[in-house]
Amino acid sequence: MSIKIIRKTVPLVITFLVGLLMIGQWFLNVPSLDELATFLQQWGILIAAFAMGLGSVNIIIRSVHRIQKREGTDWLYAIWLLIVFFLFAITGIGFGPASSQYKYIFNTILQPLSATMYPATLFFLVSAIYRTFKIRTVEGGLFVIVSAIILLANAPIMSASLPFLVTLKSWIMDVELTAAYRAILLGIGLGAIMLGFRIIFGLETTHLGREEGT
Amino acid sequence: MAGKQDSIWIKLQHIPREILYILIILSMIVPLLRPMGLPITISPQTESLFDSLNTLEPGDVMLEFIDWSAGSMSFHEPGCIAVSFQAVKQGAKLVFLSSATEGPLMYELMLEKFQPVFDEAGYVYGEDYVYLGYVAGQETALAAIASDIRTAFSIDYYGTPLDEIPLMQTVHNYADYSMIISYTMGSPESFVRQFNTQYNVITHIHCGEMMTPTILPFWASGQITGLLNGGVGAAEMEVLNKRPGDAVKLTDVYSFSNILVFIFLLIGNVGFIMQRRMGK
Repeated sequence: MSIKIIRKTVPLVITFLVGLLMIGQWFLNVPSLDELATFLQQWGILIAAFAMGLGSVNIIIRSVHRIQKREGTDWLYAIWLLIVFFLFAITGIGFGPASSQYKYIFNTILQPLSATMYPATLFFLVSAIYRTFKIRTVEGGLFVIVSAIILLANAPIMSASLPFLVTLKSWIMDVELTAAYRAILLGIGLGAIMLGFRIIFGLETTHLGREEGT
Repeated sequence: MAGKQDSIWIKLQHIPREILYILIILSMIVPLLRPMGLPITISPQTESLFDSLNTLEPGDVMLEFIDWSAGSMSFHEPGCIAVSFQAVKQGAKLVFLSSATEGPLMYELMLEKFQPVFDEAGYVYGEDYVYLGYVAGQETALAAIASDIRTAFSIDYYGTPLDEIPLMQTVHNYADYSMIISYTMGSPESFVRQFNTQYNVITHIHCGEMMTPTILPFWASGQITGLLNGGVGAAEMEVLNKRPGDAVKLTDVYSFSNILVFIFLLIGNVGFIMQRRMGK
């Protein structure tokens, strides 16, 4: 009985009170509520920072587990992951993230790799556009035409030499896209409100790490 | 004869991947080696940002969220430099901070290029600009920064308590921020929610081209005042500053690569339509 209260009732009561407090702080102009909300936000930041540490420990445990199992080739990547992880962690903690040592390994390893990953998607993107963007139906045709207009209007030379492309792009973006995306945003907003109420009133309990209703 | 024509249309749809990739590489390398200085038109979103920056008065405080990573550095860094240049020109005070883990290193790399501007303007660290470092917590952290920046940061990036930094002695919460700008590859909606919707702080966004369509409705509604669209937006800002930099150098690449993608789109569809017509 007491375990059930600790594991289910207490977290639900805390969720309910915190939810009410944050809603109250947003809609009411009560200084004491503001102070309490600010205090909770500070907790939120600390928990987020703690979660990052927890994530690091989790990565180490999973990688060690993979290395111990030695299934497939995954364990080799796990070894590499641990080497790089500890290289960055030791340098960062030992010399500080603003140190020349940390900057050196960041600028020579992470930065070039990261910078390569993003443009590399362009190759796959172009190949995918070329092979899949086909006018098979009327809707598909509209999709291809709109894509072509946006593509050309985003090329600075085309928008400068063919000003009507800019007008056309602006109309598509400001009228068609904005109208459609606003509908999506409203849907998301209403869904978020519903989810918020379900969490506050204890109808949704998956955030507590267990199945709904258990 | 028909069979031969058919094979041409099929071939048009199946150009080897290697040729595609080689042409993409050429479309990026050639303009970089031989820049052509192709013309650039200014979008209303960029113009709106520029106009808003020009309303800054000496002493006004602007928050700049360095939230990009190495992947988007090619356009976020020039965008940040162009925006900061205009803010410094207006005499505004700059508070840099990050809600992304790579932020601190991105700030340092940006500062290496921007330091001469600070030096020329006589800007002193701690008095005219400051870097607070990284704070975890994403939207919760943004809410805290808006309501009371000291709940998110007690010291700056170099370990100095905020109360000992002259600039920060007058900066406490949303009421002290003239405007904010976020340079991000993620979803910028949280900045709109926490700064503009709740406190009506002027909010600007510099995001990647892929995110622009999702954020445009907020610009149309006035919740975002200025919006820089990826590399093109950064280049437009440099043109407005009359200080062409790294982003302008890349516009030729954008022009060539976009046109190349369009040509492939066209070739693929011509082949597909003609093949279907021949089949009938």
